[in-house]
Amino acid sequence: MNDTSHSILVVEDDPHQATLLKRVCSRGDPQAHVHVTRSAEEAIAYLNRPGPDTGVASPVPDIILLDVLMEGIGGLGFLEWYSQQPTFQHIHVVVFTSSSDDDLARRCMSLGAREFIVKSWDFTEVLPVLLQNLADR
Amino acid sequence: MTSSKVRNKRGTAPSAPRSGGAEQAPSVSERSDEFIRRRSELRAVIDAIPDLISVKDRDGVYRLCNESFSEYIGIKPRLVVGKTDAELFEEEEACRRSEHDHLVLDREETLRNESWEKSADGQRGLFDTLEAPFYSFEGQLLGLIEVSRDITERHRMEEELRQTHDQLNAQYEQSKELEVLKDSLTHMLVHDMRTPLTGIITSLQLLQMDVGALGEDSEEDVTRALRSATLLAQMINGVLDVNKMEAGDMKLDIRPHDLVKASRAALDSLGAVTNDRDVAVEAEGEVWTDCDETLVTRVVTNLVANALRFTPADGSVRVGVGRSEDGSARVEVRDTGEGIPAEYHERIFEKFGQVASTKDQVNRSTGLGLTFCKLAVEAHGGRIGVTSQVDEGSTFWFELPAQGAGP
Repeated sequence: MNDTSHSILVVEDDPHQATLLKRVCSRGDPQAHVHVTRSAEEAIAYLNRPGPDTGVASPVPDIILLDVLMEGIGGLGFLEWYSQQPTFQHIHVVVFTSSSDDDLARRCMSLGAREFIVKSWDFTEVLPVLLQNLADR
Repeated sequence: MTSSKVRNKRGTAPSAPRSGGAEQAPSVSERSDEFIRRRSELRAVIDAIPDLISVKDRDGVYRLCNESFSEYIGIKPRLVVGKTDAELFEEEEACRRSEHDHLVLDREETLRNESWEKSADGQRGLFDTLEAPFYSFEGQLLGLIEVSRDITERHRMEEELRQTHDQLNAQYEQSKELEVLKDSLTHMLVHDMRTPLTGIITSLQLLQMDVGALGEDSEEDVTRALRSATLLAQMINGVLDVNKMEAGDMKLDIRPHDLVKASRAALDSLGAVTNDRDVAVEAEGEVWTDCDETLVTRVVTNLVANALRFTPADGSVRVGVGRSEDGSARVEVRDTGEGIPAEYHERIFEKFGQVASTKDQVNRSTGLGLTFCKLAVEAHGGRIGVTSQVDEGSTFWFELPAQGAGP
């Protein structure tokens, strides 16, 4: 894996959707390293894992694709944690949820999310946003 | 009994004609004849009344009764007069009657009650009974008059009506429950289809992006599959939207919008469907109104898509945007299609109420498009309708109330 390749973390509790998102990410950037966690707690543990960014196995992600409605602390809980982590602020968080609630969107954005995208039938719709954010990094 | 004139408690009796002493007074025998004639007239009148009428003095002695009363208790009138309840009825019945009499005479009030009675020939019936005190010319309490009306038939009909009403109510409740069950079942099914369908559509999209990896035929297969899956998704969205709106869960984002612009956007959103078709927006200037732009655009899209489905390829569809007489913003979608028979004009807005399901691939729809339109327009406090002539075309219109409109 070379130094310029990107890394994406997908936080999604539904295994089917997680697989689809992984495929969509790989389609957008075939070189990208895509890791999937099934909950916000698991995502936090992944980011906090010892000896991060060794450059080989699993680098610190450039982008986190975050579901909101999940068991446990959920996407909002994750964002609350994230907003307190100065060392991770360079990571772009893209919320990808089935909820189109305006208040939820405002909450997420105020906690530092870069994008709030409502899931449609076609997950490839997330691609342009993903590529744009990778380019901005 | 010399006078059976009933006098009410407050009033005075009608003034009796005074016979002036100086004038020619009728002879005693003339007066007696007249008296007898009047008396038998009165007798005939009260005997002709089907209600049971009886008069008792203050001691409970019968002074008068009509044919209906005597027939009912099975004792001739002349045998009733002069008797008391104790002599005419069995003890229990006599007691009850005497209690009522006392109430009326002591309080000098009219008593009204309904009770089941048994006639001399054993028939049971429900009677509405009025018992009222009556007075002499001088205002002295003389006794009471009792009038009973047989209301058995009326009661039976009321009962029947009540039962029918209860049955209808129960059936209505049951059908409402079924409706709710059906709706939640539909909702559940449709909801559960989302995940697999998202998988199909997303995977097909990914496949389609693999430019060149597939042969030409396979690319067509993928495109066709994608089109079908998208159609299915639209149908499911339709069901979900209607469910959502019926439950009142659809939030409206009301802002001033130009309906001409929204109508043009609606035509654009139909994309390839409008290729080679004569379809256009007709408007003079802008027509602003407060509305949820997304919803209204979808209403116009649905109406135009609908019009195109039922209009032959050489026909035309026009979207007229303007104002009605009361200032409401009005959109009309006019087509030159097959038209809709009058009996369907209401029903087509109901769920799955579209006139006839066509087998034609092109004409496929969820049967919820117009229901969606109706709910969306009504959510704005607007009205929707159709005018149509078979073989001449249809005009679907809707109006949104004029509010603080303006750019």
